[in-house]
Amino acid sequence: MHTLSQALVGLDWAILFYFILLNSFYALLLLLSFPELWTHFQLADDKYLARVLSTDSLPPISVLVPAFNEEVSIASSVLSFLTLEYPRHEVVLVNDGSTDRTMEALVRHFDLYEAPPAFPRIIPCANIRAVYRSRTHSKLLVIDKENGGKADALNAAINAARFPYVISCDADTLIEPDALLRLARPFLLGRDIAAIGGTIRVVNACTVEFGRVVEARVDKRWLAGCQTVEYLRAFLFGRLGWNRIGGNLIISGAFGLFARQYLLAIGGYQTGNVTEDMDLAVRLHIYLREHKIKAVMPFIPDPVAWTEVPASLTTLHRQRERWHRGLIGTVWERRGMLFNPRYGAVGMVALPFFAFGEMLAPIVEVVGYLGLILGLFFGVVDRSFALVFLAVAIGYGILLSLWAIVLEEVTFRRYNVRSDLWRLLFYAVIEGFGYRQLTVYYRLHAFWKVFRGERGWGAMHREGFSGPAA
Amino acid sequence: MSLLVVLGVIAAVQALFVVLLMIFIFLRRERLLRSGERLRGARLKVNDPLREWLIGTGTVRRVADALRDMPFDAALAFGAELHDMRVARSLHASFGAALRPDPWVEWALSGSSSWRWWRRLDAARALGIVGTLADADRLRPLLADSHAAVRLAAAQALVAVDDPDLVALAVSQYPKEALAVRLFLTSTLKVAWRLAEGPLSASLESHESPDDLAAWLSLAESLALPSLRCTITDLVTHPSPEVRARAARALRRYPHADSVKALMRLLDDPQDFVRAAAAQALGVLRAEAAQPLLERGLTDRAWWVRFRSALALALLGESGRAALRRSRQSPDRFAREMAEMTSGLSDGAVLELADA
Repeated sequence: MHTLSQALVGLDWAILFYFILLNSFYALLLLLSFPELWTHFQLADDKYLARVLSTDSLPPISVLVPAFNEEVSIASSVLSFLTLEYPRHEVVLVNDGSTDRTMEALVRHFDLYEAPPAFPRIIPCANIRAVYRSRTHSKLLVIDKENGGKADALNAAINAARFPYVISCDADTLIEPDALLRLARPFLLGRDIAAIGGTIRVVNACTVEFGRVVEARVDKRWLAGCQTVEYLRAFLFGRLGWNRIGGNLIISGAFGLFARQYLLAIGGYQTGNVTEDMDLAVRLHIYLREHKIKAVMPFIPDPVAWTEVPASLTTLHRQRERWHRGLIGTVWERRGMLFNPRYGAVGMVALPFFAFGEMLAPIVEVVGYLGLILGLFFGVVDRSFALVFLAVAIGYGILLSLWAIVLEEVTFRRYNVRSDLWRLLFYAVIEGFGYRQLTVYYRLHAFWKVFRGERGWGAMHREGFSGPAA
Repeated sequence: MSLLVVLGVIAAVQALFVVLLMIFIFLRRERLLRSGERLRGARLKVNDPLREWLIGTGTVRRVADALRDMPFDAALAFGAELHDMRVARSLHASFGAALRPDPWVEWALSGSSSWRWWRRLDAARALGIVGTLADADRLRPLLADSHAAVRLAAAQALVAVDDPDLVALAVSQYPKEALAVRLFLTSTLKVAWRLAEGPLSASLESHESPDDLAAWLSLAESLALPSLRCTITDLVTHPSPEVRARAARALRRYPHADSVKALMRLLDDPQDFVRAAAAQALGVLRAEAAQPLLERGLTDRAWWVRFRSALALALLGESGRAALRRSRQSPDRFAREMAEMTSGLSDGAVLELADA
């Protein structure tokens, strides 16, 4: 009994130490995001820069869009990519062996004709059936290939891209019209860029017309609402804070810009990975460090793409479990980089944080809950202490979410309807009671799947966008 | 103090912060709504005097007086907007002279040597509106500032300050600049071309590094000053392929028989990107004399040369299009595929692709 109580007390102290360390790091990220936002806003409203952005001397960009079974929405998606406000861009769409009528829809809407596959296959990818060009939209190139997954489709698109910079997008992502111009800002200020991450926001309750978000709203349903707050937190201070440390490990697969030469150098996306974006960012960091290339991988907050988040628990479960499986896979594969000074901030700070602060967090949290319950049961832990500890833990989460809303309010203020502000605050508070525990369970499930050696994405059900012709 | 008390204090502080943040969020939104209305009102007050001044029935002093009622940032942004308008330079000068004595302008200019880059940025912006030749010494360090945004605004001020030495300095440091600053210098030097012509010509004739020469060639392409054509044409024989390609690109803006001859010679260059640039330029110049060479370009071993040659042929008009149709039956697989791909494009699409 004495040994058990000593073990439980020791466990509680270990959990408390972990909690303080992790949250101190989050607080550090928050503090680091302030100067980033300050610098950003000194430049973002710059009229001079706005004028520069309207010239035709910007670096040309290829927008890479993998599509699988997108028959219903593909025409409006492609049209929204083609009409982005950018002087020189092309759209390389890859039909990744769709089993519906996606290809027929493309041929019909864009008057496609078959053209020779006149590009070298530098990165291996699944067999290409045909390459099409549009008689009506010269910026569009369509590749029809056998199914090989998203990473494989992106590799085919990288091969076919004509321009030195590429943006990877999901076919169901809505990019704001000026997002490419905003993404180009670091180039204009003379920084050597390997990749740039933009912001992803939740589109679920927004009004969408002709592939454009015309009114940003917060979903009334709690699941999508909690995710809206979660996305704000992740993008507005999480990734901005990482900019200062120099260890941005996630350039979102739904909206990220890359220098094509570096993608080619590292062999493109890894096809076996379920979260290809993080894996790619880590490999890019490795490549840059090993070749002593000074190029940076910043995140900038104002280029925005909108994405639909899971509206059902089943879909959320699949998504979070898959994301966590990808994280476990990447950390395990790159474990040699952990605390390895050879990899700079990525090896010493970013990867350890993702390993111990993100990957192991659900295990620690569950062990903490169990320890607390057992401690209370055996009378080792004081009841008042347990309650106050829980209050601090949940309160800290609420505080971080509120800071994210403050940052949103002082910077972008996309949600103009007053009731949406109330909703954001409401979800920031209730997120810690149920939603957070659910995601812990989903992420734990990922460990189980990894243990059983399961792979694959799982079906993702989507509701589609509101508004006409979306 | 026990751990429980410490945690209790932390919980209380957190609760306090939660309440304060919520209050802050709502107060800020209310304040923004009110200040937005005030700003709109102030802008409306400027509109009438501005319109009257621009059509010659009002005085610039009234515009300056109305701007004084605006917040500093908004006034500076408004001044910059006005500066971007296509109005006579004499009007810009009188607007600057009217604003100059205002305290907010003085305050902005006083930041030119500040350690905070955003204060220097404001100073450079203000110089773009109110600067004169007398401000040359104030502008000089801003042109070489450590922050690209400051240099960018300083480049804009070159027109207002109109100093030959500063323009020469800007031309000389052009190759080292960030892309954004280069773009702004280019648009500024288009206005101040008389001052830029001499230094740019001298730079192109210098024996600087190929990278620097390539940058000056891109500036020469944008300025399209006839006096630079011979110098650019000479550079198509430069040992560096980057310089030759950039010279080929620049010659697109210099329609002349000598330009076409030089470009046709470049179609035999050993480097594929130089041949591609030459083919592209010949298309833009609608050089019919180059048609046989462009048809030969369809069989080039490099994809980009074939692509640019095909687009150039499409730009030549009916004869070029006929050549493309013939090439669809060519025994050469490369020529056939490229002709097939290009033949499907509309005229608008060809123009769009040819320029990209």
